[in-house]
Amino acid sequence: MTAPAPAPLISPQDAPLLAVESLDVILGRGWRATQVLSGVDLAIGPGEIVGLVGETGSGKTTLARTVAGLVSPAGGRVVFEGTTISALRRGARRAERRRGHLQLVFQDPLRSLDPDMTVAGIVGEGVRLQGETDGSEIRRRVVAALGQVGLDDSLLPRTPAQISGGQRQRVAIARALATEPRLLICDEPVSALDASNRNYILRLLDQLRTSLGLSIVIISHDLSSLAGIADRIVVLYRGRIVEDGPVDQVFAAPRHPYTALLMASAPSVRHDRELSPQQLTRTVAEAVALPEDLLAGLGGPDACVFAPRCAFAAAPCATQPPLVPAGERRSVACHRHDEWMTLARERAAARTSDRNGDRSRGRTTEGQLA
Amino acid sequence: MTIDNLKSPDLAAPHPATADRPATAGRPATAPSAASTTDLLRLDDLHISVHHGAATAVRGISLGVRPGEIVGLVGESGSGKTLTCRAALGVLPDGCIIDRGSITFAGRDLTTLSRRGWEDVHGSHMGAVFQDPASYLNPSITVGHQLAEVLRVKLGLSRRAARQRSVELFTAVGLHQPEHVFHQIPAELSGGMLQRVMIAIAISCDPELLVADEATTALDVTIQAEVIELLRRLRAERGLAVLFVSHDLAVVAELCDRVVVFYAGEVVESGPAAEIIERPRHPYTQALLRVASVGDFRRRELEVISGQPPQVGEDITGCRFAARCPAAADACRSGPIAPVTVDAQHEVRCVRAQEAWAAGELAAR
Repeated sequence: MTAPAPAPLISPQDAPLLAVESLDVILGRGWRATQVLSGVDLAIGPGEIVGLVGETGSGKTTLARTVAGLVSPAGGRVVFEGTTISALRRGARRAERRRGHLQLVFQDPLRSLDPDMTVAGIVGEGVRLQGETDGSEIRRRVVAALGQVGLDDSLLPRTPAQISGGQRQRVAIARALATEPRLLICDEPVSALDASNRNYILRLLDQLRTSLGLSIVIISHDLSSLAGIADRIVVLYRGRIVEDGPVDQVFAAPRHPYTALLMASAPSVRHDRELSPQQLTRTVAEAVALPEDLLAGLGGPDACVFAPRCAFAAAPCATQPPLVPAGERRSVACHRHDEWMTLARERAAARTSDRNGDRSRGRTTEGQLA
Repeated sequence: MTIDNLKSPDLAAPHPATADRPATAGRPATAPSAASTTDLLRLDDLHISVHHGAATAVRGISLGVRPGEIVGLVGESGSGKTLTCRAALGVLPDGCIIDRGSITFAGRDLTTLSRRGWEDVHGSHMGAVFQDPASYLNPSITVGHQLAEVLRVKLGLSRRAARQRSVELFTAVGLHQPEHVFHQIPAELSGGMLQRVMIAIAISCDPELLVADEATTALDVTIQAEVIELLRRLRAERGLAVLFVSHDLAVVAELCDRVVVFYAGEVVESGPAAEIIERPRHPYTQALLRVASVGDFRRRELEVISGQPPQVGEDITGCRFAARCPAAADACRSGPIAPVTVDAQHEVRCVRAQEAWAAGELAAR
């Protein structure tokens, strides 16, 4: 096996390839309108792999769609390769999209690939949209793109239904690569695959980053496998970035309780976690025990997005904390980012002694029954 | 079998779980005790063919689930784990036939069960939850009504009693504001809440066995952890046995007492979960463990299992994993491989079972 992949190619002075600045997105109109993203700031450097994590409804997919120009933001802007693409309209936006420098790969290739088209047609479509008309040149680029994902030209005449799930996702990536993009946004590229295929695709993306100098955003909720390849992790919760930082640092010492909750919830073959999900979220009993005005504040519209679930929420958390720098290249949006870990350890200790108490009580009951 | 003897009391007799149900609230959460060695569900030499007999997808599966035990079936997609549990539930898809073998549930043969017989088994003795809860609920009827309906039909409860019991069940599966949820339609609930509703429906008639087929696969990790915790609690509180199907060995390792590893329609390894995770003997199990999300948050080389599994129905002399196995020898390809017992309750279908563990240990270093 090869050595771990090289350190991120980005250095702070590099201009970011993609910059998302205080992005607000509202979906729906009138009474249906929902704010899906609030003040999202994100920069992706050249050759960087960024893991975007968060649960259903956190706005991960909306962020990807906004960057790709499929959704118009209500505020803020998206700058890609120096062009403010969120300000482009109609023809200019279409032309930008057809350049194919920014590509999306979706979760379920069975639904995102046209079932009536052959692999050759699917992969070549983007090349044709770029304005290429020479058939042999299109074919050359299609075969080259398939080669980059480890497929050969025997698949060209097949339709998506005639190839396996892992191959299908590779075709979806080849389709994106055919237009020679600078940035690849993969929306849950591995969720529909089993463990072996999942690792294969992630490894492939890592190799493409090195061989093509691509920047890649991987949206996923599988933290453990993201940790294997990403340089940076961005954690999204209810439309806000709550933590952003280098992958090793974030996973070694999460600064936001939600990041810790995600890590504690990830299934593991070992049982050696320091904290359990229960220690990081507020129980119903604890919520009831809180003073009424505090509880109302934490559930209010201005409160920290994570406050309703957070075990460590206190009075300051009734207002949304901004995303502030917390150490080198790291930022976190939590009022108590310095304190909660200590509190969590105390909680864990209290729980353990509680449980021991229960166990001894249980024993007495059994003794009485006997 | 007639309906009369299906309803007869001797039905409850073979499995102690029903008889002492009210007193089992304090049943220990840990693995089944020596007292409950009789299997609640028993599959023996089960063969299932698909496409109206064109290809054999499940080849001689034998496994048992004891009362209060959580058994995990794990394997790649297409390994036959879903077909196996669908056969146990009596809901095989069209064109799938049980060619050979037996399925016994609480002493009753399920392969010859009539439609009326299944009506008695479903719900009352066996519950099921699947991957996509939304597709099993009526989108235009409140979830409370859908649960109450089951209670009224199955248990003959009155409208008022069914409603009260529904709210209790919603509380039992950890739904907040159960009275409010009662009046909501599926579209108003999140995926995790819907899966809890499905579990509430599945356990509503107090079954002895819950079949969970990829029940947590589509959920977010935080919600998945909560549902796993819920299943653990239901087993502790109600003595519920669970047949848990997943392609993720890490999830199975979290929850199950015993693990059964499927590969291309066969059981390649089975045994206590801790034993399988600590000392996997079959090269396929070892490979699965290497690719599983192991709860490792460091940058590392992500491993893959090279090669593809055989096509469904493909006939292979000898071991079905041999083509992908790093340790395959001539003996692996010469004839059928019989399972070997390597330790108490730990069976491996590998001619090199005794050596394989040593090889795995070397590889891990």
